[in-house]
Amino acid sequence: MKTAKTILCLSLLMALPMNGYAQSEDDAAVDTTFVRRVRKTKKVEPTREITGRVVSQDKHAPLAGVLIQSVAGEGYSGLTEADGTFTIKVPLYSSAIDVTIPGYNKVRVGLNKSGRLNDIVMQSDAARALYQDDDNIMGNARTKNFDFSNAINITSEIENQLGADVRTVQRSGVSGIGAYMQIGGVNSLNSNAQPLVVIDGVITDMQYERNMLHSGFYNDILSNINVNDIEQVEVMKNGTALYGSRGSNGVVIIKTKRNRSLATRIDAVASVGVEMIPTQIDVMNGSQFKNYASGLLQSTGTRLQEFKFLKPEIVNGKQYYWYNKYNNDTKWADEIYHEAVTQNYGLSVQGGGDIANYMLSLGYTRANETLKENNMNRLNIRFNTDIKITDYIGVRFDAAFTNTTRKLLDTGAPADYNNGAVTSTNFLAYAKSPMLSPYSFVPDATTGIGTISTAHLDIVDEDYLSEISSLRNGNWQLANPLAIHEYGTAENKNYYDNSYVVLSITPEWKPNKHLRISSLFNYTLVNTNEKYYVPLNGVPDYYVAALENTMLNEIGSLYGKQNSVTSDTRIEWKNSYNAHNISLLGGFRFMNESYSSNNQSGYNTGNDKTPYINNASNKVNDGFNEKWATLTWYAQANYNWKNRYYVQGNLTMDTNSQFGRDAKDGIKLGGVKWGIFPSLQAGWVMSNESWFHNKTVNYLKLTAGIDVSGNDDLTYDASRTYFASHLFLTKVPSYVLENIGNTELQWETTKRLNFGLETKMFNNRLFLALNYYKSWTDNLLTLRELSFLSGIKQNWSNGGSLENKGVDLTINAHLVSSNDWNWSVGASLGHYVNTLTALPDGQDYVDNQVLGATVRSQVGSSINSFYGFKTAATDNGTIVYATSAEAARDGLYRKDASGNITYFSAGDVKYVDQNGDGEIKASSVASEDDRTIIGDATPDIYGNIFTSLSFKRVRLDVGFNYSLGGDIYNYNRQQLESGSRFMNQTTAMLRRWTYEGQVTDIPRATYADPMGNSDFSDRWIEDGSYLRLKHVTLSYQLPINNTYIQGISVWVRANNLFTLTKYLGADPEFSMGNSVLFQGIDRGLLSQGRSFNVGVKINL
Amino acid sequence: MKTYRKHFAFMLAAASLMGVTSCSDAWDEHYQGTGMDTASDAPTLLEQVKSNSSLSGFLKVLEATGYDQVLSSPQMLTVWAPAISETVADSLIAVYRAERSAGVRDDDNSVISQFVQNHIALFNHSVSPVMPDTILKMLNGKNLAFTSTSLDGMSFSDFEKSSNGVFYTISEPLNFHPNIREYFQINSGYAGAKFDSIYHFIKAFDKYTLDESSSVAQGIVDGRTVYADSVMRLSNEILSSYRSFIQREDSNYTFVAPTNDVWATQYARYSAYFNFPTAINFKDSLQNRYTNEAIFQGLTFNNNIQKSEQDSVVNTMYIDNYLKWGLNMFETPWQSGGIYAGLDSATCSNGRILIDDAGKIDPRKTFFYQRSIMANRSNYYWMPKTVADVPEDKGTMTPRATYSYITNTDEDGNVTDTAFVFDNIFNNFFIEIASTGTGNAEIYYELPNTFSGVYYNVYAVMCPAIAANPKATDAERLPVKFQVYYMHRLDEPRKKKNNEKDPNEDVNYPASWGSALKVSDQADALGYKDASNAFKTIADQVCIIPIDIARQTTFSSYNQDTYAMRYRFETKVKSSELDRTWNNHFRINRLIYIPFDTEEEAKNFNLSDLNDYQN
Repeated sequence: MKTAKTILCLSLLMALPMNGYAQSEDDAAVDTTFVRRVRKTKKVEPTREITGRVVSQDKHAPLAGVLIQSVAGEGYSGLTEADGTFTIKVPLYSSAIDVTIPGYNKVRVGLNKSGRLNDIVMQSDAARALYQDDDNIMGNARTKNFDFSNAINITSEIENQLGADVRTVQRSGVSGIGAYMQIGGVNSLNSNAQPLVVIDGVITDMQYERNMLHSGFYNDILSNINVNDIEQVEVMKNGTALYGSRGSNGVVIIKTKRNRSLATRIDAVASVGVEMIPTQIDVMNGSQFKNYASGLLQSTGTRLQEFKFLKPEIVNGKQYYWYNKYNNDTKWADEIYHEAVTQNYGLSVQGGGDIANYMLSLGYTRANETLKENNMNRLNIRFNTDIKITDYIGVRFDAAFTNTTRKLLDTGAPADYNNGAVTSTNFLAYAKSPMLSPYSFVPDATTGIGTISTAHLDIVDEDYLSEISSLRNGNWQLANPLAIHEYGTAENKNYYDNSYVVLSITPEWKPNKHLRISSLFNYTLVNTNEKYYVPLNGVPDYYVAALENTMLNEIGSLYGKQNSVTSDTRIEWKNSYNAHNISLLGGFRFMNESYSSNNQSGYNTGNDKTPYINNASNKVNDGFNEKWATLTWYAQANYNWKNRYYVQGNLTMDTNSQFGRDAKDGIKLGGVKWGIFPSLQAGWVMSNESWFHNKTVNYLKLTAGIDVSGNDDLTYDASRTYFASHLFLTKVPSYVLENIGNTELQWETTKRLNFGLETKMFNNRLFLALNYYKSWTDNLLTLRELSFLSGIKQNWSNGGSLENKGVDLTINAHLVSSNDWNWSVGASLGHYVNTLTALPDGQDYVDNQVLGATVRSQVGSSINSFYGFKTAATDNGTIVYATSAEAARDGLYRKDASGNITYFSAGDVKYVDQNGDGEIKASSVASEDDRTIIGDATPDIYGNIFTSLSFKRVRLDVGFNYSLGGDIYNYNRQQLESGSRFMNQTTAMLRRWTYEGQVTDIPRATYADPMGNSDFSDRWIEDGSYLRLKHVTLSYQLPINNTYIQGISVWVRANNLFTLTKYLGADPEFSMGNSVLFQGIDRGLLSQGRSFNVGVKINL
Repeated sequence: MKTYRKHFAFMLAAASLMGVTSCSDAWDEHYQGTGMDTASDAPTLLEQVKSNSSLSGFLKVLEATGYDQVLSSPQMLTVWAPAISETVADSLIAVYRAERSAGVRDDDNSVISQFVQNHIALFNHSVSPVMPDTILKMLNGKNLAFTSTSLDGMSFSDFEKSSNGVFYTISEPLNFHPNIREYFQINSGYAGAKFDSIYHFIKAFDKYTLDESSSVAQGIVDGRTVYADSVMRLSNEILSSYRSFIQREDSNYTFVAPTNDVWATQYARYSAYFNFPTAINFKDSLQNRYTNEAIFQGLTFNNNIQKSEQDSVVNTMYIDNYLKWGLNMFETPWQSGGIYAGLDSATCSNGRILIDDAGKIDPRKTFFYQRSIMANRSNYYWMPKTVADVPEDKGTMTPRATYSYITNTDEDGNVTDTAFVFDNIFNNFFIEIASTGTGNAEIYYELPNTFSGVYYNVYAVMCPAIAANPKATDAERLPVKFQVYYMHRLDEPRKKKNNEKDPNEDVNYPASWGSALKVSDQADALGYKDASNAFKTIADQVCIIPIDIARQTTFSSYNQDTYAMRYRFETKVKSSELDRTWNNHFRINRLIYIPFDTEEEAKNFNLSDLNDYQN
C-alpha cells in the first residue's frame, strides 16, 4: 500500500503542471504514461539552493523522506533527511516549493530571498487539504471527498461541502430528487437561474423546465450519477465567459472517476440506512375536528339542525348506527409514513497499464421513501477507459447507463380545489378528517351495530356533509390515502421510469509535450416515462371546473425523450519559458439537442383494474418536439510569471438556434447572431514574492476579474411566429396563431466583477478564502404586452435589468493536530443582495400569482418579493379583533363583486388599511391597493459549519448547514390554518376565535372565508432561518494488512439530526420548483427526515 | 494558539445562535398556543351545568333525556341553562318517561322538544354590547328574539366559554312557543279544549315511513329485510295535500281554526254530501275523511303570499285560475262579515290562529262549488258503437267525433265573422258528434265529483257550426234538436229481467243505473225547447242550455272513478227535416253543473249568476 502511495506521489510530483485553464481536462493519473518522456527533455536552468527543515505539527518532530519540489517545474526536487532538513536546487525564477508526504496535507511554501526557510510544519491529512495543484486564480471551489456519504444525488454533498459557494436547497425529502442550486445570486427573473452542469466535459441539459405529472416531483438528471462514481465536483463562480451564453449562473463541473491505479483494484461499498418519519405538524384529533367542523357548519348557511356525524352515541334509546363511523381518532400520518430503509451497493474495478486504463463500476440503490408506496430503484453502470494507441495518440472512451424507477405519488398541498381531488397523500395525512377510519364501516353481522372492519379499506366517498346540498361541487370530500396506496400503486398506475445513456469518445493527439489536440464526441439519451393515476376506489368523485363536470378518476402518462449530441474539438498548447508560463486553448463546440414529449390524459377509466387511456373519457393527447442547436467558438489564454502573477483571458462566441435572427447584441455571421463573451482574470500570489517573509501568513493570494456571460434559456419557440392546430368548435381542424415571434430575442447578458482573497496562516492551520462579486444582468427575458389587434396577449422580449452583489467566505481552522488527534473546525458563509434595476416599457413592477401569493418584482427591490396584506395589532396586541366593539370602531370592510359591503367583526384579522379608505382591498390600481411588500425569500446569509475530529483510525465528521434571514411563504400552513374548508387543521386552530372577547391570534373559522382572513398576508410569511445538523459521520479504517484485502472502512452516518428554526413548517429547506419564482414557497412537499446509515467499504 | 481556539469557539457559538433562538419555543407557542385565550381547554357545556348547583334540576332532566351526552360531545352548541327546581325537573322527567313508554319517539317527545331543545341552539352565540338584535333558531326549530342581554325577553347571565360552545344561565325556563299544529295539540285533550277535532284529524295522518335509501340493511331474515339503521321519515298526507305546513317553523300562516262546535256542525252538514253507494269500498271511511277534508281544506292562509290582507286573502288551495271564479279567495277578511272579522286570535311561533267559533268559511269558496267538464274529455263521455264510424286504432268506444279549434281568422288570415265565438267559450274548443247517414247521433256524459243529497243544475254549452268553419254551408249552420235523458247510479245493481235489453247497458261500466229519465219534459224558461220538448240550439249562437234543473242526487261520486250522474244526449231530427230545418251535429263545448242545498235554491238560480258565464 505504501508503495502504491509513493508511486502515486511521485507521479503527481512529476506530472504537476502549471495548471492552465479552469476546466482542466487532463488528469494526473492518466498522464503518468507521459512522465518518462517528459523527464528526458528537461532543460538545465540556473539554480539556487534552498534549505529548510520539515517537522510534524504534533511534536515538532523532524520528518524524514518528505518530498520537496519546486512549483516551477519538474525535476527540481529532493527528500528530507532523517533530521528533517533538506537542501534542493531550484531555478532562480522559482518562487515556491511544494512539500508532500503521505499522511500529511501538502504545503506550499513561498521562497524568500535568503533561501533559508523557516521550519515547515506539516499537518495531518485528517484535516481538509488546503493546497490544490494550481493556484486557482478564479477561486473555484472543489471537493472530492464522498467516501462516507450515503447521498444518492451529488447535490447533497455539494450542499454539505460547498454550501456557501453554491446556495443549495434540497427540493424535498424524496430520495435523489436533488437540489435547487444558485451561484452568485439570482441572475435571471424569468429564465433559468441555476448553474450550468458539465459532466466529464459535456454540458448536460438539466431539463429544468420540463413538467412532470406528479406534483412535487422533478426529474433531476444528476440523480443518474452515482455519487460513488464521482471523483470531483468543481464550482466555477468567476470567469464563466468560457461557457458563453450559458455561463451566467455559474458552472458546476463534475468529473467521474477514472483509473488511478497501476495495479488492479477492486472497491466494494455497501450501506444500509433507515430514514425516520419526518417532522409532522400537529393536527387536531378526531374530537377536536368534530368540534371544528360543527362550528364551521354555522357559516355554510345551512338551515339543517341535525347531522349524522354529530349525533350522540345513543339515539332514541339505542346505539346510533353511524356513531362508530364518525367517532374515530385516526392518526393519518401513522398510516401514511413509515421508517424507510435505504440500501446502496457498489462495486468498482479499475486497473490498467501502459496501454489501457479502465474503471468499471456497477451500483444499485434502493431507497424507500418515508412516505409509503414511494420508492426509488437505481441501477447504474459506468465504464471509463483511457487507451494509449501510440505514444502520441490516445483515446478516451466512456459509457454509462442508469435506469431509475420509482413508485411515485403526488405530494404537497393542492394548488386549488376546483379542478380535482386532493391526491397528495402527505397532504391528506394532515387534512383528512381524523374522525374517520381508513377502514370500512359495516353493520356487524350479528348485532347489526355499525363497526369498523379492518378487513377492507374504506372506499366510500366521504359523506359526513352530504346533507348539505349547497356544498356540492365544492370538492370538500377527501380521499382515503390508504386507498390511493391500494388502488393507485402499480407499474401502470403511478410510476416513473428513467433511462440515462451516455456514450463518449475522445480521441487525442499529443504530437509533443506542449500540444494536445482532442475531440470529444458525446451522445446522451434521457428517456423518461411517467404514469399517473387517480384511483376510483377511495377517491371521491370530484368536480372539475375546467370541464364543468364531475369526474370519477383520472389517468395520465408522459413520455419524454431527450437526445443530445455534443462535439467538442479543442487544441491546447502550453509551455514554460523560464519564469514565463503560458498555456493556450482554443476549441469549437457543437451541440445538437432534441426533446420530444408525449402526454396523454383522461378521466373515468371505468374501474381500477383497467387503468388504460383507451377506456377514458375527455381524453387529451398532446406533446411537442423541440430541436435546437448551439455552436460555440472558445479560446483561453493563461499566463503567469514566476507563479506570482497570473492572467487569464477568455473569449467565447456563441450562437443558439433559439436566438432571434435580429438579436440586438452580438455580431451576425453566417446568417445567425453570435454573442461575444470575454473575460479577464488576474491573480497575485503575494506569498510567493521574495520579499514576503511572514511567519504568520503562509500563503496569500489576491485575485480579480471581470467577465461577461449569458443566459440562453429562452422559451423554445419565443423567437418564432407559429400557428398551432386546434379543433374549431371541437370538430373542425384549424390553425390558430399562437405566437408572434420576437426576432430580436436574445440571451440575457451578465457582467460580473469579482475580487478574491485566499490565505493560509499559522503554519497552514487557518484557511480563509473570500470571493466578492458584483454582477449586472440586462436584457432580462420578460413578457411584453402586445396590441390587442394582434390577437396575442404577450410575447417574450428582452428588457429590464438587475444587479447582484455578494460575497462567499470559507474559513477552516485545524485546531488540534497530533499523530493521534486531529480536530478542525470551519465554516462557510454566502451572502448576496439582489436588486431589480429596470423593467421594460417603464413598468415599475411585475406580479406573478403562485399558490395564492402575489410575488412582486419591483424596481429598486429584490426580485420576487412577497406582496400581500399586512396585519395590524389590535388593542390586545394580537392580529385578531377580540371584541365586536373594537372591530366596529375601526370600521374596516370588504366589498364583494356586487358592491356589497361587509364589515370586519370580532374574530376577523385586522389588516393594515394602507390607503386609509376603510376598505381592505387587493387591487391592481395602486391607490386602491392595501397590499405591500411583506417578505423576501432571499436569505441574508447561508452556508455550512463543519468540524472533523479524528483519533488514529477513527474519524468523526460533523456538518451543519444554515440559512438565515430568508422569508418563507408557508402555503402548507395557510391551507391548514385557513379555517375555511372542511379539512383537518393544525392544533393552532384550537385557539381560533370562538367567543366575544377572546384574545387570540387565530381568526374565526368561516366557510369559504368571505372576509379573507386567510388571504395572502404576513400571517403566512415566516422567518425561514435555520441551523441544521446536516450530518454526523463516524468512520473507522480497520487495521488490516492482508494480501487480498487492502483495506476495510466502516462508517456510520446520521443525517438531519436536528434543526434549529422558528419556522412552523416541517422543514425550512425545500424548493417546489426550478423557477426563481417558486423559491421560498412551502407547498408541504415530503420533508427530509433523520436518517441513520451504516456502511462498509472494502478495497481489494 | 489558545487565543485562536477561543476565537473559533466564539465563531462556532455565534454561528449556532445567529438569529436562531430556541426553535421548539416558536413551534410550541404556535401549535400549542401558549399565552392565548382558547376555548379548547375550557370545561364542556355539561361540566358547566354540573359545576353550578342551581342547575341541578336542569342537569337531572338532561341526564334523564340523554342530553347530557349531547352537551359533552364536541359539537358546538350554545346553552341557556334555566334554574329549575328538582320538583319541576321530576315532573318533566315523569312526562318524558310516560310518553316514552307510550311509544313516542324521542324526536317527538314533548319534554325534549318543548323544554330541552328549547334551551339549546346550534353553534356558538356569544354576545357583545354592539351586536344587532337578531333571531336565533333553537334546536327545536323555534326562532327566538336574541339581543345582547336577552333571549326571547329573558335576561341571561354573562356567557362562559366552553370547549364545545357557549354557556349562559337564566333564572327560569324560556317560554315554549308552540307552532300552529302544536297549539292544537296543547289545546286538546282536556275539558273545555277547543281543538280536539282538528288536532285528531291532523294527527291521524301522521305517518312514519322507512326511508329505504337512507337506511342500512343488515340482512334478510325470514324473507324480510332487517335494517341495521332504519331511517324513519315523518310525513302527514293531509298537511302536504293542502299545503298547510303548520308544523314547520320556517313558515308564517294564519289559520282559521274551527272550534270543536263548529267542526261538529259542519261535519253534520257536509257529511250528507259524501254518501257513497254500498259498492264503494270503505264508503263510511271515505265519507268521514272527505267530510273532514271539506272542513279543513280551506283554512290555511300563507301570510307570505298575501298581496294585501285588507283587500283579500287567499288560502293555500288557491291557484291563479281561481281568480275568475273567486274560489279560495276571500274579500275584505277583516271587514264585517269577513272571514277574519271578529275572531279571537292566538299567536304561534309560525303565525297565528284565528279561533273560528262561527263557521266562517263558506263551502262554496272551497269545495261546494260549480264545476264543469270539457265536452271533449274522453274520461267523461262515450258513444255507442253503432252510431260511430270508429277508427280501428281508437278502440271500440271512440265515437266519430271531431275535435275542432275555433279560429278567428280564415286560411288567408282574414278576421272572420266568428269572432263572437272566439275566446268566448272555454279553451276555444268543442267536440262535434255526428251520426252516420240519416240516423240520430247519440252521446253519453258522466259528471265527476258530484255530491249526494244535493240539487244540481246542469247546463250544456253548445257551439254553432260556424264556430270552427266560417264557410259553413247553410245546411251545416242549421240548429240541432235533441233530447236528454238522465240516469242515476243505483245503490245495488238492478236485476235484469229475462231477455230484457237494458238500454243503459254499458260494457265499460260495471255498476247499474236507474232507468233513463227524459229530462226535457221539464219546463224551459229560456226558449231552448220546442213544442215537442226537445232541446234546440239557435243557429250561429253560443247556447247555454239548462238541460236539467234541480236534479236531486242520491249518491256522491266525489273523488271516485265511477260516477253517479249520467246524461244521454240524442238528436231528434226526422230524416225529412235533416239539413232542411235541423241538422244532427252536436257541437258541445262543456257541461256545467252546480250543486244546491235545496231544490228551491236550485230552481231560483238565475243563469246570469253562472260563474264564468262568458266562457
